Amino acid sequence: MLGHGLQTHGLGGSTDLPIPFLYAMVGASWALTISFGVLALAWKEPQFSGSSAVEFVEVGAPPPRRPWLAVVGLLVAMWFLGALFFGKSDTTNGGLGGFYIFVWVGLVPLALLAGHVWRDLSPWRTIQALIGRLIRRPDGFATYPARLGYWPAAAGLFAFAWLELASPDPGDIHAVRLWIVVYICVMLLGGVVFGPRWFDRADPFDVYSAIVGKLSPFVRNGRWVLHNPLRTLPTLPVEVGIVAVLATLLGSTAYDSFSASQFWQSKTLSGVQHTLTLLAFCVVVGALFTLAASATGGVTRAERRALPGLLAHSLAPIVVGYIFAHYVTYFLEKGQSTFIALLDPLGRGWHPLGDPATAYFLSEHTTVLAALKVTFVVTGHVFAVIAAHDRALAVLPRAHRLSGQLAMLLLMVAYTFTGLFLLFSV
Amino acid sequence: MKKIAAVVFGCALLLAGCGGSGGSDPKVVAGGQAVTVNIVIKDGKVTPQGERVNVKVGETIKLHVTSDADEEVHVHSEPEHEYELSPGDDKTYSFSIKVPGQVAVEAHHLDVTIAQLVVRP
Repeated sequence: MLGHGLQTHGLGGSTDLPIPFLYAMVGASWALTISFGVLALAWKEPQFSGSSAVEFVEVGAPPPRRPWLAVVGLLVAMWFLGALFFGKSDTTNGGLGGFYIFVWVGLVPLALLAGHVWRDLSPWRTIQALIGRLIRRPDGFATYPARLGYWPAAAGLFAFAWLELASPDPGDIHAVRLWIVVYICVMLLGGVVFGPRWFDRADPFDVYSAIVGKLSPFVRNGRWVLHNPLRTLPTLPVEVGIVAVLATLLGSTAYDSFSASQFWQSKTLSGVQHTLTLLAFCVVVGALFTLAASATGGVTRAERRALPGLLAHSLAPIVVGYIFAHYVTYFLEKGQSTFIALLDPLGRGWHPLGDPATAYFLSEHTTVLAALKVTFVVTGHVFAVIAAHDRALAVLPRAHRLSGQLAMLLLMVAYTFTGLFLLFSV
Repeated sequence: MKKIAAVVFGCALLLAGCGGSGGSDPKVVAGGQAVTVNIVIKDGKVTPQGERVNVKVGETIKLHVTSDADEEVHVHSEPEHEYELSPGDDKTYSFSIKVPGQVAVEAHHLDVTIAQLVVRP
């Protein structure tokens, strides 16, 4: 009944005020200045990327999954699914917020702090490992087809974005239950057939976490080591579909902002039109990135085709910066009531913490919030520009090292300006 | 690199001292301490649609609604307000909002955002 992006991020409640114009302007000027500063003044030899394309993908096998984290993951998943499926069938069900806030948004700060810990926690990986051991097929029945690459994950992320932003009723518990049942079936089936590789390439949340985890300064290759995230970011495994994954994340978040604009709200549109617009946002983000990455001279056709993938990791910081700016209040404030609701998974009136009121620290300090949002976006932009510059030095022919990065630099500035504009105008 | 990030962050924090202000809304009547939004639900359409309404925290907001159909008007604040309307209704609802932010006022049967309350401190 209700829907089409009417409910903010799938749940009710208020959204952020627009950031003041001055903040957007200052953020934009810093982004522009730093971008060209990096291009003109930064290092001329790659610092973080190896000198040949082969070195980028050599990360070393990740360490085995930690059993205690697998147990924690199973317990949390059972609690969450218990609430979702056996709690009340209305909007007070904590499973809704658990899905939209803790799984979708919480995944990002978790991966930034603890790396790709999702891999250890993932209940689907645990169940697949148990089934695999039982039927003596730990690696499944078939090799995961390399030509699929990250495309299944991109499709899964789009399916999530569609549910949250363009489906008839994102706050409808039945729709969310159905989505999750289909997701779990696809994950387990694919896992049993293709083995753990399936989760590395096809589980939307697992892939998302793996990408953000590369930006964690605290965890490298699954273990605690303080390091420069610009060194781990280039180790993101490149396969077909990686640009689609990042473009879906950035495009759908931009659509989320855009769909709350007065321009869009004043129109009466069908579900199909919402879906096509959401898709168009993702396609445009990805197509522009592919074009900008390939806009260089002095490369063969095959080399040019490889460039978008080789530069894809540099889009990750922009995604993370914008997602933080977009979701920070939602996560910290709406997350409080969701946590309380999840403590009463079956709707039986369990209130172990009493009934504490939500603390609206960020919403009440509007200037601090605006400054934080601009800082997130600009910080993401700076990391992105540095990562792209470094990789460009490694992969572009010597004569085209500066001119070959120009299109990408301009595109990143354009993404960041668009992000700031959306934060300012909606 | 770390220096750049520190400078950016510093500048952003410095900015935290300044603020912004909003515009005005033609369809909104400001009378004394209350802001009134006139909403007409007629022939399957709602006016206004997607309107921005600037209000202050704690200010009384009045929704004056006339409707020729069954409709549910939801105000997505914390806590939420829900108003049931029947054909021929001409009603005024009032409430205030305590937390800054943007609050959507929606007609749920028609699937439309009537107005977005821009609540500033």
